[in-house]
Amino acid sequence: MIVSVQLHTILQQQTPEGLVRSIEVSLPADCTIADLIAHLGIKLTPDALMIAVNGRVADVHQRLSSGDHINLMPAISGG
Amino acid sequence: MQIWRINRRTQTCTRENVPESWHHLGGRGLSARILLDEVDPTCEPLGAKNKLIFAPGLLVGHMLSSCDRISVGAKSPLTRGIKESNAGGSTGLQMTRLGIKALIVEDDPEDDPWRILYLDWQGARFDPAEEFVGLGVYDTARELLQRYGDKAAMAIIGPGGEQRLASSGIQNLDKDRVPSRIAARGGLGAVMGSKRLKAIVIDARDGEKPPIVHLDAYRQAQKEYNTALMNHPQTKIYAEYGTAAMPRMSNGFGGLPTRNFSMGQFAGVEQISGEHMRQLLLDRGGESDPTHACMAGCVIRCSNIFGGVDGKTIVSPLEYETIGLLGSNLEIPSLDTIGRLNWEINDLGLDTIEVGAALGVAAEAGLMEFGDEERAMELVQEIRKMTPLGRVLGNGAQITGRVFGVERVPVVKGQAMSAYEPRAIKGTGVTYATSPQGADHTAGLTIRAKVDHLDPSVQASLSSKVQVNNAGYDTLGACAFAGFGFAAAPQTIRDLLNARYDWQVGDDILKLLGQETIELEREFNRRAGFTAADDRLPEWMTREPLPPHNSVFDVPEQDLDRIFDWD
Repeated sequence: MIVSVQLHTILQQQTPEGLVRSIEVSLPADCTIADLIAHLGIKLTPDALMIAVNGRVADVHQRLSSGDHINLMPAISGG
Repeated sequence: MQIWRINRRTQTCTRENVPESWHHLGGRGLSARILLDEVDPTCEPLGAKNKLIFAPGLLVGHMLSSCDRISVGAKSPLTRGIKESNAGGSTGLQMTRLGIKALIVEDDPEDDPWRILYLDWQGARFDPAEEFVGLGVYDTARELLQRYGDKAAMAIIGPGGEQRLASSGIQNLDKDRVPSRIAARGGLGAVMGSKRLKAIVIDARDGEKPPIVHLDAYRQAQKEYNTALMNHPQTKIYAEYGTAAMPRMSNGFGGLPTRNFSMGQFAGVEQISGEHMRQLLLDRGGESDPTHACMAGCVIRCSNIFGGVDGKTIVSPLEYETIGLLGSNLEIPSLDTIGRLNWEINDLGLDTIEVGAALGVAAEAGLMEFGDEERAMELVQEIRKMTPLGRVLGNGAQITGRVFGVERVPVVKGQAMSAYEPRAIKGTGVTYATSPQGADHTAGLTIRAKVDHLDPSVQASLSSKVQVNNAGYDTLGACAFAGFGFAAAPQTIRDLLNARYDWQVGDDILKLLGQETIELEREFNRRAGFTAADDRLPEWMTREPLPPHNSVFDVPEQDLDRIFDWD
């Protein structure tokens, strides 16, 4: 399946490819956000991340479907 | 510390002891206390009975990182309720160096001409200001720095405040003496204009830092707080991207106000994003800088200097709310244009959120095409020329909507919403609806909470918590972003206060200060005639679905009404 991913601020520099803002990712069916993060080589731990799938807050266990739009953002607690 | 009371009619300054019930307060809480004690909530905001309060927060005075903010308060000519608007820069710090706990400007200037209120260790002087009348904020600051020296702090109004426009604010110098740290929301510039004060100059060269009772304990707590702040990952993101990191985030949640709050995503978001801005500034060099502190000693440095291709500054800072309300809200996908509009609005001494929202309503009414950058600038120039159209726009989104018969007006209690769409970030919608300040995001932003922002059932308790916290930070004089440090090391709030003042406050002090502040404000508004009906989003937002989620604002009214029932 293919999903499109928007990377935010410092995450744009964390993929092996260098500066990446948005990317189409091909993943096996039944993948979760956690699989996507591992695939992209993102260094932040899950609770340091804010995740939106198709505009809605999601956690790392969420299963993905083809055509999903994902936003990966560094999270901040408080404030 | 003392209360400095300036009577504009008798041209006197009296320095008074701090009343018992004001002691434990600062900033927003102190301003609320003073307004409730001394101002008739039914008074005319631009009349003799309103008072203009400047109150540094409780922690202000020692360049504690990101904690030197000044609160400005009065009855608002925009909301007709209580208003507090705070700013960074140097005003708060310098006022504490003169021993000012709060500055109260009261009464009517009658026939006295425009003045510069000059404050130093000897007291107050009313200097002539006729030559500055009509002058923009930037030229005024330059002239005043020449006249009074470059160590002075200043609070300045532009032509907008002089002309009593309800979108006018009060500009303060940043640490580099740029007059762009604005106490923007709610028309406080007009209140200062009604007292016929063009500027307040604070010359604290012969002043001294306010006392700290237990210095070692203070330094220890300061060290812990600084460490927490520097270690927090968000600090680096703010330093590198500033608040401009928000457009793609809001857009990702479908909550970036677009085309006069009719959509939640903007096709041009990449060109107005923080990531794009950072690259632009690094490439352009010259005066551009994506990392900049507005207050001396701030380790976060979320501000920026936005320069053009020629290396010269266009505006400093260029912030998220401005990018939203003058960018996506008008479908303008150009940071350069947004920056130029920002500079003009700063120079007029107006609130970019309120003016941006008014322009969005104006576009809805057909006065400009969405995306027409030149026309947007023309409309801002109408305000500068003080034409009737300009005066309508300069009085904000609600007035503009009434005059031109537009229903889609994004305001609560007469004040425009900022760049978080309440139908997509419903917790912030609850804050907009219920805050005594009107539609104010700094009163309680919820976008960073890991909740489903579209679920109406979880938002009220979230908003309640953040509103209390932010009212607490506003009372401390802490920038909202200092909240990251304090949240990671909450004991430092208690420890800093106890060390500085020899108090014995507990771990709940932030909550207690925040709750007291909100209670004072709600009481003022109640006496001013506000009811539960005023704690609502505009009706059209409960009815008109917002793409892409096609959501309406549907947090139950009983949740809104119970949000401040904390016992």
